[in-house]
Amino acid sequence: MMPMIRIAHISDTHITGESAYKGYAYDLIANEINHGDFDFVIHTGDVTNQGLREEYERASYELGKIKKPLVVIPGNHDVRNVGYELFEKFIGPLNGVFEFDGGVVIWVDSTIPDLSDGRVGGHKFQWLKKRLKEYSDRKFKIVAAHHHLVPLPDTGRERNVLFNAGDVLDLLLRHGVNLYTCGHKHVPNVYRVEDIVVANAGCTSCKKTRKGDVNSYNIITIHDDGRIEVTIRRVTGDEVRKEHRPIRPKIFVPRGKRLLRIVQMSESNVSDRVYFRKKILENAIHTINEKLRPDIVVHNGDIVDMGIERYYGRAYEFYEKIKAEKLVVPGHNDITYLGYDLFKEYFGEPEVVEMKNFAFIPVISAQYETPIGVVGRIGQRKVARHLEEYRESFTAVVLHHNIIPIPRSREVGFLEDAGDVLRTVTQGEANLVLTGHGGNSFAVKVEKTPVINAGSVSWELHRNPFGNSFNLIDIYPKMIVAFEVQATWGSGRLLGIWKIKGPFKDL
Amino acid sequence: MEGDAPIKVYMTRKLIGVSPDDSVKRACEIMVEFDIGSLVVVEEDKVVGFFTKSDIIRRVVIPGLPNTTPVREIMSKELITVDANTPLRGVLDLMAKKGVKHMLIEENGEIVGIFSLSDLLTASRRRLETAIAAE
Repeated sequence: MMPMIRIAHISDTHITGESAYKGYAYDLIANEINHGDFDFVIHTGDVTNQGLREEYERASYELGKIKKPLVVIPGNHDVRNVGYELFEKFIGPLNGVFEFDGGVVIWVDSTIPDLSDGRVGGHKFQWLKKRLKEYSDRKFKIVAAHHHLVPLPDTGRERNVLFNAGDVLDLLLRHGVNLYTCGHKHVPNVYRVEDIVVANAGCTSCKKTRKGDVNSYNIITIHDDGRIEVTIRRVTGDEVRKEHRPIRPKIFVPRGKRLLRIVQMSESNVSDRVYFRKKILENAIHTINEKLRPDIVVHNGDIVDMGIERYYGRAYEFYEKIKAEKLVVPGHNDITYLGYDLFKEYFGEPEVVEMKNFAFIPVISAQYETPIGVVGRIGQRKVARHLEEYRESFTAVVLHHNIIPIPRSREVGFLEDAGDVLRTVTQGEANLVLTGHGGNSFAVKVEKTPVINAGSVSWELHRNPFGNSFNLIDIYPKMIVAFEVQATWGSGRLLGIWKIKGPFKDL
Repeated sequence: MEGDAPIKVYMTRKLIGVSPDDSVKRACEIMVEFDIGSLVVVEEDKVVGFFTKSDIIRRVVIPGLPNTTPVREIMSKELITVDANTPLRGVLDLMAKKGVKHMLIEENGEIVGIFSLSDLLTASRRRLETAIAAE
């Protein structure tokens, strides 16, 4: 039987001769690691501050103070000034594999020279995929990179995510990766995304902490029964501990009657352009009315392709045909041109929909003339307040912009404050979040909250290999089941099933 | 689809099931409700059986059994399984040899997923949709 494995996860040391580097914090943490019961150490990048030769020389000396096996990943600061060549010379390979008893760490260089953004592009993605195939039978698979995989709170403007974060997340989920470690934004944070623990380390020894925080590192313990524990340990000695215990196999035996059926659509993009597939929308509406008969239809935005009267008139005609209750939130296309006024005239100001013991909370995230959305600090507080107010109901938060990255879509931080919004909904234990941006369907549970994105129902410019689709979400007393329904053929594809528990009163 | 990728990449990781004492009627209701063609049979979190719609036709409807028959009496107890690390190509080969359209996927002695031939039809559904979508 594999003994428990303990990993010290450090990041963002920013070693330099300048004041950005806090040598005493580094020494303190290196000392704790040396005296602690650790099997190995992962450093998730930004070893140096500017990727300069003298910084690498010093980093090589400083890293030598850690007397444990050390895996070091390059960060965006390390590749500045063509530092990636020095990284290989002074530190080690940019990508690689570290094997331990029962498991493997696969680390990948996610940097782009001279940019802060990240990507695991083309060749590296294929390389990562090959390594995951090669080590497929390992009980514990850890992937390490510098950039974060899901939006992080307290980062101000959410950006510098991996451009292909959705593809990477999908790849890791499919391969049953247990842990993703990263750094970059100097915010310590731990999320459970389905069965992957996503551990962000704060900064070990850089001056630039957020919210007046102090330096920290993560202590990761992997137990033989599959449990993963992450403790954020600050230099003050304060600790915050989180644990995830995966349940396998995931078998659901439906019990009791269905409580509510939701149809979730997005990106109808009603227009007279060739990309708008009128027949498919008509067919979908027919299937919804005659076969599926949901309690509520949620449209997650981009109901029209442009905010002009003619398109709104047509969209209104389509959606008038839907017999069920409707909740429509605007997307970025909807409020172009006159759309801001037209949306209200045709579909009204979105308001909380209460149904039986369910509350649907709409959130406006679209802004004028830009695909980038924002909820804003006041908006976030409003969501948090609503989640509190409707605590005894099943709560579903409805917005246009995605708060988790979507496969096949270039992720550029479509929601400016996605990190803070993701924290608001997971901390508030929303029972469901529905989004509709990116043209592809995708669903993952983050912490206790399933987040489901809808693909495009009738727009040719989508990114879904399944074609145009909408989602069917059924709620049972103890579980949520989400299927994607092919808009033309009505065939289903399971997006996810999740067990649900409170905080709502018995449904 | 990549033939050398382990089947775990393509399998469905979440299974819908019934318990052995559930009736065939209940099982059929679940199949209709979720629009799925097969169910696992679960006892104490372990998969103990499996059956498909066509098994119901062959083992219940044709012999004329009542729909109150418990599924334990009609399920396949001999499970056809394959390890989660088997490459897709090998799984397809095995499905062809065994003449089955669904394959249960196993990891460390537990059933952790299912792979169905219909999972391969995604691209053709999209192409056919495009073919008729134009005005």
